[in-house]
Amino acid sequence: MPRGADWRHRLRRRAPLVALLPFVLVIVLLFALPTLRVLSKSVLEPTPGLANFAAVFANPLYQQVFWTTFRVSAMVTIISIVLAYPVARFATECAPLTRNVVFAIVLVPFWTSLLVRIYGWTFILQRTGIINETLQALGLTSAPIKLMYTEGAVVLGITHYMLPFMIFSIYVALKAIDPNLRKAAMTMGARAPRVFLKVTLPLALPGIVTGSLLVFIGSLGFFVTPALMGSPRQMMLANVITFQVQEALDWPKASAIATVLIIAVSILAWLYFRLVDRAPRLAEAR
Amino acid sequence: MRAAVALVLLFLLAPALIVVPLSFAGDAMTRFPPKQFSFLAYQNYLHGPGWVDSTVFSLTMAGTVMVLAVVIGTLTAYGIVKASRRVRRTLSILVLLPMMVPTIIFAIAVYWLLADLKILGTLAGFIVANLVLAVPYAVITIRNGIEGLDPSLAKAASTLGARPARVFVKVTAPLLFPALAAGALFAFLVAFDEVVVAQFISGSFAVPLPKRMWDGILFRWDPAISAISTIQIAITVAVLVMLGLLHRRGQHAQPRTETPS
Amino acid sequence: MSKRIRSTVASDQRVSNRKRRTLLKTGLAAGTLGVAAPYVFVPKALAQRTKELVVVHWGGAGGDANRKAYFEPFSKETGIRITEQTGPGMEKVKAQVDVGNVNWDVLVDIGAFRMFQGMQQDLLEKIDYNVVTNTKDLLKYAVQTYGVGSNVGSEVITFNTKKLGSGKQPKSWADFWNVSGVPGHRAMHQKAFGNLEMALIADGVPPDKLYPLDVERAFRKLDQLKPKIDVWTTTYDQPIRLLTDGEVDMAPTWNARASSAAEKGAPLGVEWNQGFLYYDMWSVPKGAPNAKAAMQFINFCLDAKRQAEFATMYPYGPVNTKAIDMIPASARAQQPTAPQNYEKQILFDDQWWAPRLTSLTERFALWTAQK
Repeated sequence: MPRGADWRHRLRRRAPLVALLPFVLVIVLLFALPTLRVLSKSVLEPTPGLANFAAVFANPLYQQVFWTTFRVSAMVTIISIVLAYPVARFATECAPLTRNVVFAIVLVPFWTSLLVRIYGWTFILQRTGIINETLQALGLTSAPIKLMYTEGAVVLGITHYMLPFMIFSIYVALKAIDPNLRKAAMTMGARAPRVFLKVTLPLALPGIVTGSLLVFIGSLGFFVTPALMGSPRQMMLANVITFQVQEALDWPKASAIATVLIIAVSILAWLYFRLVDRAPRLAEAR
Repeated sequence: MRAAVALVLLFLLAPALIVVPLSFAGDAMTRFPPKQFSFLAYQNYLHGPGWVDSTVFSLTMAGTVMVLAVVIGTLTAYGIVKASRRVRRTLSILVLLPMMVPTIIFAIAVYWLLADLKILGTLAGFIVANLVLAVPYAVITIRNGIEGLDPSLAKAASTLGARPARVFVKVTAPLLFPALAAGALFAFLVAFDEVVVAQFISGSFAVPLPKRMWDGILFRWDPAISAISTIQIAITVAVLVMLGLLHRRGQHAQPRTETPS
Repeated sequence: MSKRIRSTVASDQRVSNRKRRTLLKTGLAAGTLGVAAPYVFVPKALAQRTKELVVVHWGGAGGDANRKAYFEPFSKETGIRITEQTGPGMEKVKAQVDVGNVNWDVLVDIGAFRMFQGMQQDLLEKIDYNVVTNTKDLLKYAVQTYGVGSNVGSEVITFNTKKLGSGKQPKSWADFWNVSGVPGHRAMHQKAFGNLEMALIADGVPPDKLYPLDVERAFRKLDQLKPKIDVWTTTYDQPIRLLTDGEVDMAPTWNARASSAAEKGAPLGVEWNQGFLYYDMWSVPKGAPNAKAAMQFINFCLDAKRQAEFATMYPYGPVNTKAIDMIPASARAQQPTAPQNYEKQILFDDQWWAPRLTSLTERFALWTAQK
């Protein structure tokens, strides 16, 4: 092997790492270091130690808020998967013009500011809102149903925001599946449900996994929707953190709560990746 | 299944269906359904303090973030896919970090960073801050797309004699297009819609549209807000319908290809 | 055979080599551009800082009134240009002061208890009373060390006139608590300050014996009302919307918001009896770039005629006692400091609240969040 080829070999092996450089720089310099500066307040102020964390864990409000946050995010994720899959599947199979109409509809909420959407939902769900007025006018109910200011309303509001992420993630994965795979399975005698379980679903899984990650982690940080569509019982972690930052001006405590959240999510993400690293890739499925 | 799809789409549209008629209702002190018709909302938007400026600012900022995020996202996605298992796992967590940190904490962090860099209250500051938030979405989506690629297609093309650039342009990129487009879209929307960090890093002349809307809604509802939403919806619909029509024309020009079975 | 495979493999590797190199070049170019960009976009030079004043207000109708009554006349008279921003949250002041880069000069209409909070965290400048000299006609409470009163607002029982008009409305906090006697859907704001006072007044505590607050008694009284609260509002605009939509029939709101909405046709009425008077303040962040002009500006705004102009546009009471007579009689009825309203109301004690604000607000949040 001629000498000159050596550096090319080394470069080729290092190429992925070089490609990763811009991202790593952005993450480390523009994100990680500044964020650590803020989070370090939790252990450095007002005096070095874990007092802020002790206060957080001892507070019964925060325990409730913690569980509410994770419970709501989990529900949002599961419901998103169920709602997104039919739409994504339909979009891969229909004509291009229809598909674009579907995407336009999916993007419409994307383009609407969150506060405006909540405003719209309020009109629909409140006691004197559209649903209640319609139900009563049709004689289906005699009194208004409490839809607004409940956990259901918060889940609905967040799902409405996150759904497009899930739809597009699943669509991207489904689009990459060779339709002949399904045909081949059927010609070999498998019926539709079996084809779905054994061929389509495993190949769509990466899309579902990606979407779930985006939706779950994204949902954890909501505070406007629980504040405006839920009752105080639906307070989520971002609400209490915002309170500490804006009202209490207690940034060390805010950092402590945020740190607990980040650690919890990191553990979940790590577990998720361990489980999911075995997800079949298209190449391996052949 | 079509019924299910229709229901989900209706769910997605519902709030918008309320807001659009409201934008023609004048000052929103009336109940829904609105009892009057007026263009006050749109007049407020065009002549009001800074709505149009903010729109231009947000579009420019989000557009720049989108381009940068897709470039970095594609590089990173390729890097992750080709790297060793350990690097891959570390990067996977790293990519998620900006999404895991509560935005208001990042707002304070980036405030200090931009103050140090002396770009607080500027377009550049907003681009820096939103790039951090947008890149993870781009990386995750594009990586998903790359992992879904069939490597044998690219190999087939190159064994048939195509050079790597041509392979990329003719084979890889078109297959990656949905993922690239989705990544670009997510990045754009994350940057365009971002309001929490904006609260901290805005300046007198750098006020993105969501911040202006947010301040308006929390302190007093300005009818211009519903006008903006309607305009955005109209543009989205128009662009996508146009793309659909162009695509259809393109398809008629080329013969349909069939994948070899 | 082996030669053909080797050459195919080698060409494969060349193919991926070149692909990576192209990617690399693009990446490096983009990366350099990205890093250099911040230094290329130089922020608009804030030239002649002494000729500019950055004021921060809450926007909306109050912001408009501020602009017409104060900002524009001040610019015209002194030649100092006023630049506006919105959202004078104390946490943003803290961010600026912490980093040593303050670019706000005047905080407009911040709540007095916020001013006290800012003072405790060392975020505000002392008011320079050598420059702010227009103080002789001011309400006593308006003259503070770290802020000057800008207006007096009132938190009053607001009700939907369609459901509760013509004398049926709640006329006191006891009425508000009287769920059977004064039926209707109720909303309350998710906050401790003000709410504890309402509970104590409803429980029979005479207004002059309110402070120091008997917190336990207040919470016990609140327990009685809690199941009957339909909505706990979180933004100041929410109760107005809820009342206008008929979603609730009564709620405490701020008088100016209610008046604004009523003027535009919303069926809202206010009950002045037992309303709470809150002071809004002008303050200057510590290290403000143009503190001197800030003090000049504040002094300018204390003028009786200008205060009257503001109050006519946005009915929060002027702190200048001479101003109330300058307000046209028709608008005077909506003023918290008009004699017929002022005598029915209770002054809120910001100083008692300042050290307890956070702990009591957290306690209140816990209380509402539990069954």
